[in-house]
Amino acid sequence: MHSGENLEMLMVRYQQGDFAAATVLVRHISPRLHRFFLAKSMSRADADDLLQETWLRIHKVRHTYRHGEPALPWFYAIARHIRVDHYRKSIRAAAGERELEEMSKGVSSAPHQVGELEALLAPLSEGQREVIAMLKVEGMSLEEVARATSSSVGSVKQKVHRAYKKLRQTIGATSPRKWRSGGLA
Amino acid sequence: MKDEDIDEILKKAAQDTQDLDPLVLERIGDSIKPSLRPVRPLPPCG
Repeated sequence: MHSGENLEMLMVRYQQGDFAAATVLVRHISPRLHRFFLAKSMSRADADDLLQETWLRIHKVRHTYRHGEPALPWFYAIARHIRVDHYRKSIRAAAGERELEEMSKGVSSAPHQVGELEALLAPLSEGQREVIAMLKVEGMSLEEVARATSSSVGSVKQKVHRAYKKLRQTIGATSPRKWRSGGLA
Repeated sequence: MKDEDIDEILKKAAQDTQDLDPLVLERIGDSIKPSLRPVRPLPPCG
């Protein structure tokens, strides 16, 4: 159901208060947004929390979706804002966390499991990870990615070009077969 | 390595991403249901 037409019709019905339409949207969009968060070096628990937060924001600002506009970039633009807010909060909390780390020394913590996608995209910059996740993982068009990231198609293309250059180096430096076989040794 | 090879690797890695817990979806639905009422959308641009 990637065709924007269906998503847009569902958005209109959601704005009209149709719970069935809202449920279909939640089920269709959530896995994509969840992958988007996971691709940005986030733990599964954080991705779950941000997804829920994203939907609360979507619900609050659902009136700002304009009929006739592509819905997918609208969803991703909100998810981006949520992620940026989360990042800023984590920066502010960093000092406090350092103190907590001191206090918790000796207590074993469980680092989150690194997924294959996350590991693959790790060497990329924040902006590159974002466009690759939308364009190549989620299958969005250049225009949709440009709209979601408030940038131009040219800028998106440039980021993709640089990301692929880096990915080529990374994959080449390890073993292409390792990635193709889907195994992180 | 061609761009198509990287496309394939990315696609494979994305497929291996863990599925979203259905309970999370249920929680999201539950959280928006009580305040679901019609809203007036912004007028189209232009």
